[in-house]
Parts: sequence; C-alpha cells; structure tokens
Amino acid sequence: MNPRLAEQFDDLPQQREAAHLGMWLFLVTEVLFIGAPLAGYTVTRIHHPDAFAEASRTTHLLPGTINTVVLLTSSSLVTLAVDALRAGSRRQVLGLLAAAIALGLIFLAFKAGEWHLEVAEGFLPGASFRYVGSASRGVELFYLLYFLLTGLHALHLCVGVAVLAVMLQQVHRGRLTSECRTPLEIAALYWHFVDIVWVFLYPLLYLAGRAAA
Amino acid sequence: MSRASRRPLLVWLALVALLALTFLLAHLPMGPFNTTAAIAVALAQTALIGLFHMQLHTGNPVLRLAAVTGFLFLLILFGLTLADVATRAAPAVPW
Repeated sequence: MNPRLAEQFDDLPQQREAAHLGMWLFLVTEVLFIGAPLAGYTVTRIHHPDAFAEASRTTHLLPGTINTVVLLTSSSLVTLAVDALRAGSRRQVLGLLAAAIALGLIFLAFKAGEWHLEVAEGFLPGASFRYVGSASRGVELFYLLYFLLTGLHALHLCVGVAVLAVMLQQVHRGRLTSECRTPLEIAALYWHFVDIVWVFLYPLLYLAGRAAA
Repeated sequence: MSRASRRPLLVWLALVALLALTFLLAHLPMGPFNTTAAIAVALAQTALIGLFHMQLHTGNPVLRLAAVTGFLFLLILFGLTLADVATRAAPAVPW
C-alpha cells in the first residue's frame, strides 16, 4: 500500500484528480468573489462614464503595464517549474520558482509605489480625498473600486507568493519530487488565476479613458 | 528546441503581444468599441492562460466543466445586474 495514498481514495490518480478538482472548485468561488466588485465597477462606470475615463487617465500607466508583463512572465516561469518537476530537474525547479517569487515581489513593490503616489496625490477616498473638477464624485468612486480591486488582488498575490515559497522549500527538502508533484501543480493553478484577475483589472483600471487624452 | 519546450515561449510571446495590442487600441479613439476590444483581448489572454498554463486542454473534462461553470455564474451575475440597471429609471435625486 502506497504510504502517500490517503484512506478515502482508491488509487493515486484518483487522489491527484481530487486535488485538482478541489483547487478548481476553490478558484470558481474566487471568480465569484472578484466578480462582485467587478459588477460594482461595471454599474458605477455606467452611471459615471466620463468621470471613470478621467479617473483612469490619472492612474500610472508605466508601472501598471510593467506589472502586467511581470505577472505574465511569472506565470510562464511557474509553468516551466511544473514541467521541470515532472522531468525531475530539481535545480531548475528551484531556480524557476525563486524567479517567479522574485517577480511576484517586484509586482508588489511597484503596486505599493503606485498606492503611495496615489495617496500623496489625494486620491484615497474619504476624508483626505481631494480632486478639483466637477467629476469628483465619480473619480472618488473610481478610486474606491481601484483600491478595493487592486488591494484584494495584492492580498491574493501575497498568498500566492507564500504558497510558492512553501513549494520551493518542499522541493529543496526533497519532499516534492517527480512522483509527488501534485501540490506544486495546484499551487500553480492558484498563481495563474491571480494572473488572470490582473489581466482583467489592467484594462478596466488603467486603459479606460486613454483614447481621449 | 523541441516543439514541446518551444511552446511556453510562444504562449508568453502571444500574451505579451496581446498586451501590446490592448495598450495600443486603448489609445485609438473608437468610442464604445474601446471597451469591447479591451475585454476581448483580456478574454483571449484568459483563454491562453487557461488552456496552456492551467492545462485545461489536457486532463479531466470535469476540470473544464468547473472552469466553464465559473464563467457561467459570472454571466448570470453580470447579466441580471445589467438587466436591472438597464431597465431602472433614472433616480429623481442624484445619490
């Protein structure tokens, strides 16, 4: 009897499939979790189209775009890491995971920098919000959603970085191998989901009003 | 480079190319089509990530079912919410 096989499963492939389905079901709940604020964004933008365009133009396009490339690249590296683990190339897995983690941290650094600038510019909704113009209510609503969406995303990214770090440690210790690689596969699914969320946030937050500069 | 090991690079190039596309299109005045184009590109990128990074094209069909279910529930959420917004009269007093 394989010691890795848990009692409730008939065989290892079933156990692996259960792990994958479990992660996918969790990601479906996450889709709905992010879907709610996105629906809020959609409705608010319908009510304040010009204000949203104006507010979107105040976001920092350069770090936002760089961050998108950073996350897309990190997803590719994680996929390569999963392939490398399947092939048993332990050293490659360690390097690729370390690089993916580094890119995740770079993303968070850029994001923190953007938030710092935006707070200094007076875009934090609430008592310290200051914006000159007739669209100020709509702009404040945009930034409420901006901080909510990017904040939730950054939180998920932090969790992703922590999970990848644990995976890195497990590979380093020899607990994750070519035969036992399911934890890395499902960690990768979570990472790719965080990437997909950003792929939607980027155009909605950064590109909305760019055509009319 | 074998075909298998070239694929991750091609997927990455396609994703970055789509990013460049959405960036450029965002700066062209196309009216309401700007938003449509941006969402279309995001959906294309999601499809690439889902298929090639998350391995949806291989493996258990039940996983594809789970992914589609998530998308379907999003459609219900957005569909019913927008139906409400579209059929609701403008408020007499601005909020």
